Amino acid sequence: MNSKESIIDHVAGKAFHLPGNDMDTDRIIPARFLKCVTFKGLGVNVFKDDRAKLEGKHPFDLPENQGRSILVVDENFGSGSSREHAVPALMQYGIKAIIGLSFAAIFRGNAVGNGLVCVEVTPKQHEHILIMLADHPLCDVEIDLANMLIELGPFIQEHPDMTPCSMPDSHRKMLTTGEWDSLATALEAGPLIEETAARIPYMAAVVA
Amino acid sequence: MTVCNMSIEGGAQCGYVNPDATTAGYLFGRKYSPEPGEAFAKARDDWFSLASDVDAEFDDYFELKGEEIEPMMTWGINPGESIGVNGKIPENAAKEALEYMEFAAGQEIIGEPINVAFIGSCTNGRITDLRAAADLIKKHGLRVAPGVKALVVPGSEQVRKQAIAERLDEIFVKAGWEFREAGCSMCLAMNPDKLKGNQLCASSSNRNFKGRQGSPTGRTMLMSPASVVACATRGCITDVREILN
Repeated sequence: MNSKESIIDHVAGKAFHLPGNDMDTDRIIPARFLKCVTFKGLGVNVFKDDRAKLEGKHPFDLPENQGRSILVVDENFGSGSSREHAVPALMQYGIKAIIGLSFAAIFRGNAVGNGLVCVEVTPKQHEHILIMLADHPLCDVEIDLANMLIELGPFIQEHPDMTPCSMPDSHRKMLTTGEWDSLATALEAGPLIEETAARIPYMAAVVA
Repeated sequence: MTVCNMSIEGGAQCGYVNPDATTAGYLFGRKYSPEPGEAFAKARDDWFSLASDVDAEFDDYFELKGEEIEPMMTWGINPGESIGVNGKIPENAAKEALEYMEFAAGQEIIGEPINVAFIGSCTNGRITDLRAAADLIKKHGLRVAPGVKALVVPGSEQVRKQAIAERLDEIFVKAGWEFREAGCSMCLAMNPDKLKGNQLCASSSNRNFKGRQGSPTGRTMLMSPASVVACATRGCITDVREILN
């Protein structure tokens, strides 16, 4: 395992829209599901209460959205409590990338730390993507982090429809170098790990 | 703590108060603080070195006068959706929030009947909060209104012990409150303390998102501990200043 294997420079899949601003982390994963020791099993409970209320009509439950891995959201996605669980809950459901007007800062930090791609678009670009998706719900969507472009299609003469997108430079660097994967990055240090551990009083006993 | 915690809901990355004499005074002689004397002085100098320099430049300054702020409460489904207790819900309020809270745009919140009153959370479950609430109850002979479930949950075990040492627990229990073990309780409902159905809760906690207090349709109105006492007493949303005067 090394950070190169964790490189994320593009994400490709089909997309769907989850309308609504200020989707807080309590809605993404209600508190009663936080008692897990590991993050396993969070995926089935993502948006649990919102989905129960809509009785199968929530975008996460619509038959046509099953298997789609790119989520389009509106403003301030992931606001509220700083629960990291919100990110793995979405990822375990199958979300690999989120396109939004804006993200709450803590959520976005947690997303990078777990390798979930969050890119921002302007209101005009957002509207354009939603119109394209309404017309072509099954079109291929690719987020290219090398060029910071969202490609939809191909439609006309084999050319995809291109929309610029953005994310903080530091996040883009972490994703495209694989450094977001802190465990893989740490493991690359090899023997230095044990050397360092031997110097730390509370770790020395474990290493020995 | 309240200001720092809630800054995040205002969109801040970090809410911070410069360490000063008040900070040092609070930490002096506490269990996990350095021993009073040289060790404490060294630590204090270290803490003070973290404070903004006197010539630090800021992008903006706001001056707020606490005594001029009406008791504030949330009416919606995020902490920003709040008004003064005597105010009206904005005409342009978000439809989703109104539907969830079962309120109408333009309506007053005062007099709205509550089912549960909760004093607690890391944000408003300090000894000073418990003292303020107990003081109000004792001075004005307040009792929990019939039909209202009222909980006091200290923010930590230390706070709980201190409250018991000051016999605040007796004041609460006599007035019809449950005085509970320390913990998060109804701030986020990871234990059995939960709202049922669409109950309305006057809560001193810090988040009012949909379902936050354990029922997917439960309704939370955030407010200060003193306001929670006032609401518990009257059984409805109340301006605590009416009791004080």
